[in-house]
Amino acid sequence: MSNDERLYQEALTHLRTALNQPDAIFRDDQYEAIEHLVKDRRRLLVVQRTGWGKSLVYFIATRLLRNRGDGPALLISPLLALMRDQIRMAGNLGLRAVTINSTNTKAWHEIEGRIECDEVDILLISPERLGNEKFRERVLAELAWRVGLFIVDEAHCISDWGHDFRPDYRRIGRILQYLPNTVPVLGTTATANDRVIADIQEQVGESLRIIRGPIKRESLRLQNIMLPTQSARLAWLAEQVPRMPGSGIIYCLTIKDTQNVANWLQSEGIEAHAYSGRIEHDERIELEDRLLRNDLKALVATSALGMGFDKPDLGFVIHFQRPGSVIHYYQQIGRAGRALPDAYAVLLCGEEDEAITSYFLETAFPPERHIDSVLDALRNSDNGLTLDEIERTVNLKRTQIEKVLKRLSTESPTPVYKQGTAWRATPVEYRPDHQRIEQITALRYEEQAQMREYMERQQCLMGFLETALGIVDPEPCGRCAPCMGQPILPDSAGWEIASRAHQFVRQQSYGIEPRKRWTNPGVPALGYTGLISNELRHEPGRALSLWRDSGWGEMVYAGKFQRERFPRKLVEVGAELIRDRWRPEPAPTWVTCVPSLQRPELVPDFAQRLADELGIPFFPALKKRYPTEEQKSRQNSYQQLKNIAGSFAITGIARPGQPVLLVDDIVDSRWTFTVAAAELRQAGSGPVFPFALTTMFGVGG
Amino acid sequence: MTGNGLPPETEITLLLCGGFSATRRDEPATPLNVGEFNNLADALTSHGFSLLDLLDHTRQEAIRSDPATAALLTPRIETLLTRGTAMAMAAERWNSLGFWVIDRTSSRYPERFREHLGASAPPLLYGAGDTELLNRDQPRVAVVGSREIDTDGEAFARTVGATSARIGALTVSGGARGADRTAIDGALEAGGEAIAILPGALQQVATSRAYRSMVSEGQLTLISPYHPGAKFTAGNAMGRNRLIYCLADLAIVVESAKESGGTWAGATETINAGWVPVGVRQTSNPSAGNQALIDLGAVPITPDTVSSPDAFQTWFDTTTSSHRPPEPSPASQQIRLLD
Repeated sequence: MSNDERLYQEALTHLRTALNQPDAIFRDDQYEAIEHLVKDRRRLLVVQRTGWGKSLVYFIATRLLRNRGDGPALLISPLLALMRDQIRMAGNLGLRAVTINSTNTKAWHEIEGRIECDEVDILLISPERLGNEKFRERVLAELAWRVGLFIVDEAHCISDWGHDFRPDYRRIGRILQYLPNTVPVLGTTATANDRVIADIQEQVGESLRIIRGPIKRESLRLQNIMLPTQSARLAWLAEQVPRMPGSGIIYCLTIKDTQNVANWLQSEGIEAHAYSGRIEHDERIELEDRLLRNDLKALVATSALGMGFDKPDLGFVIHFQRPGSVIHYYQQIGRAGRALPDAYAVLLCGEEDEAITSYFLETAFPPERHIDSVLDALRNSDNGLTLDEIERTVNLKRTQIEKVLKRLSTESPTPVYKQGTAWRATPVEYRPDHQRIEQITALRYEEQAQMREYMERQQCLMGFLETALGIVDPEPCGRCAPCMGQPILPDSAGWEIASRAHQFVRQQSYGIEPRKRWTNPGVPALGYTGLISNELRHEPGRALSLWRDSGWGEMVYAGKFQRERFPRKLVEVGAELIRDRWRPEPAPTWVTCVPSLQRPELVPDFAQRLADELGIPFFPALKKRYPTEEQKSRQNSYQQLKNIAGSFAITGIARPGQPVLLVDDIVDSRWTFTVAAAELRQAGSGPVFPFALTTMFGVGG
Repeated sequence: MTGNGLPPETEITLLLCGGFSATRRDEPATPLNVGEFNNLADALTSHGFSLLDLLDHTRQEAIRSDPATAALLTPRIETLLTRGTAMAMAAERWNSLGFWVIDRTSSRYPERFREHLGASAPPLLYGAGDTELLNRDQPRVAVVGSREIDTDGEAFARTVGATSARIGALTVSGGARGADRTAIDGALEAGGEAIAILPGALQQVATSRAYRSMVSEGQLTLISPYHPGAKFTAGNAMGRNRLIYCLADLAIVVESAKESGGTWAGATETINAGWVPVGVRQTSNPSAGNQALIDLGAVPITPDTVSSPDAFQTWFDTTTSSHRPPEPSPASQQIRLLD
């Protein structure tokens, strides 16, 4: 037997062990990929649809390299939480696979020891870990000096032409540029078009070999349905989801929408649950498991549920809104029907889609003035600044500051770096690459336009997607709505369910959670430091609408900015919300409001009428001592509290010790409510329940 | 070190000689010193291989299976060669923070190091700032002296830097507290340029508020034979002293202890090797160390001379032209290791 044959036999044995199938054979290209890595120790990019068996390739290659005395493999993946099955498969091969992430810091020390004793065969880490200096020095250093195989999962993220480019992947791309040829490299992805592949090749080097398979998913039945209003789409979902085969995913563009849609479906008796990056890690795993077991009809998810989620019998993927690009869309629908003869992929399009995707792409890069102000602050400091200190120095939201730092620290060369908890400036002059930013933004707009074109498409839908992804002259699929010449599923819902959905949208309300902590350092002169005591905190409150939403948001907006008086309807629905649905306990016995010098009549007038409707008295207990800047011009907590603290005076507490309803038109940071409530409580009022007509909180991604 | 990674010559030198941890103790195997590196290169070359072959899996196998060369790849060297990922992560980090690394074959590597030190020139140099300063055709004055200097010494060091700037000379110094930094500050304040050769802690100095903008604007170049994250050690400081002298046309000692300390060691080494002329601050009441250096052949220079550009220029010209350079180091012919 030649060496080559021996390698093949050895690999085949491992394949059968891994799958626990004594007659398993390699799929197209799988062995070729393994051979390229093990025999030639070269570089490889595998572009294959989900389910092809990419993890088999890297586990078997790792096994073979370890058998030959090479060092352990390093696997970088954004999907560690979803790799439990894969790790089990590695175990079948006798590979000791270890995951390191932010949730198991306590185990780092032990893992470090195991790496040192060569008791780890493959280490799985997230891309973010690589940017963490402490982690690199403590844990990774032990492994890095003898990595035998460097694996990058979801390698399309390396390219900033890629559809879900992540800043931390820039670093991976650069590390690959510096990696000597002595280390074999495997990149894997399910979704990469020609442009992205060319970009990865440019970064990794000419020696990178590409193995690329077909992308078409034969089982999918595609249909697009235009339903402009949210209520029409909700009604459609409530009617159609129960008729769908098995379980599925409903994708939304925003976290807020996932919650709304899930609430609605639950109220219609459908087992659906919201899923997004804001849900706790453990609960996410639990939700994924329930979906895998078909214990849920649907997860209503943002794109946080996507890459790596592996459910062969997923029956349907429905989009509540139109995603930003064909590649996003295709990746998400590609989750369905992997091992089914038939699965549905329905794109519902609404009036808000374009605005949301445009918002995402316009805010993808931090504006230059944000970058400049953060850089100025760092350059003027001797020993660097912590995030808290930057927040005190510049008028930007914490998330904006974080976005700037993330962007800058993943640039190369970078003008900033983190040492311990402090950010410091480097001797690098930073010049943003305007041309590149413009090119990428233009490309994103093209992708958005392509999705619009897809939505209006009257011919084969699968053919359109394949063409967009680089397949030349695809055959018509013969299964989508245009190929069939008629809708596969009805394109509207019944009248009764539609009116319930309409009702639901109008009855939405949004919680206003009390703030629990003053900013650091707060306002010591007023005693506003540390925790906000229970005696000063407001109670949980409610907002009637989301900023300019299709429920009441537009009416609030028009009332404030166009008519300068809130219409009667808002008084009615506000009172109805408070009395019938919210029912604060103990029930407020009087009403007061947040004063304004700019529009002295607007809110008191509304609060007075609301009080009348509720049948309790209104007293203006607060007045403004001096004009303040609009809170929305203050970008972070420190600046917002500083702006508003001390600006209220008490004119009198009408009913001492009695619960009170505190009314304002718009709530955003909650500092106005927090400070006003503290003033009221200090002056002797009972519990304070804030009520706002609209909330800005949670708008956007 | 911008664009697509490192040249292969730098890659292999880094793999074999570079450190990637804060201290040498944390390296999995001790990186090769310059002598060991030269020997390995010579041995491979004499058997028809080259160091660059170590970067290719197939060529590595050929070296291992050739009986003449198999023994060259000791376990220590094999271990050093497996550090590819550690090297890539370190190089990426350095580059991101604005540092570069060059090896002896680079056109940016200081010609004077090759000329004076030959095969014992450091295999790698790390730095921040404009590399063009390293080989620019311009007079260079090195300033050395102890960390603890009195106000007269400090004024002298600062004036040497400032006057050098005025006559268009570059100030070269060690970048330590005391005489080194004062001379650099004097040069930079007078609008001149300077090179600081650091014994470690490159990252700390380059990102300090005092020097950050000077580095980014090209007025100050920092270099070190130790990687940017390396800690400062006394051994490192000794190792880099000769580089300060070798990069300059002449050196001026502000203050030296007698027969102890880095200043004494560096100055006497230079006087013996004859790389460049050594000047010593002369005052009415010179220290024992300064007097001893004059006795060994160092050229005295007074505070008055350094405060006048004309006088300083004349002293510079006389001192450099009367210096007899040593025969080129026989080893300087040997820097063909990677050809």
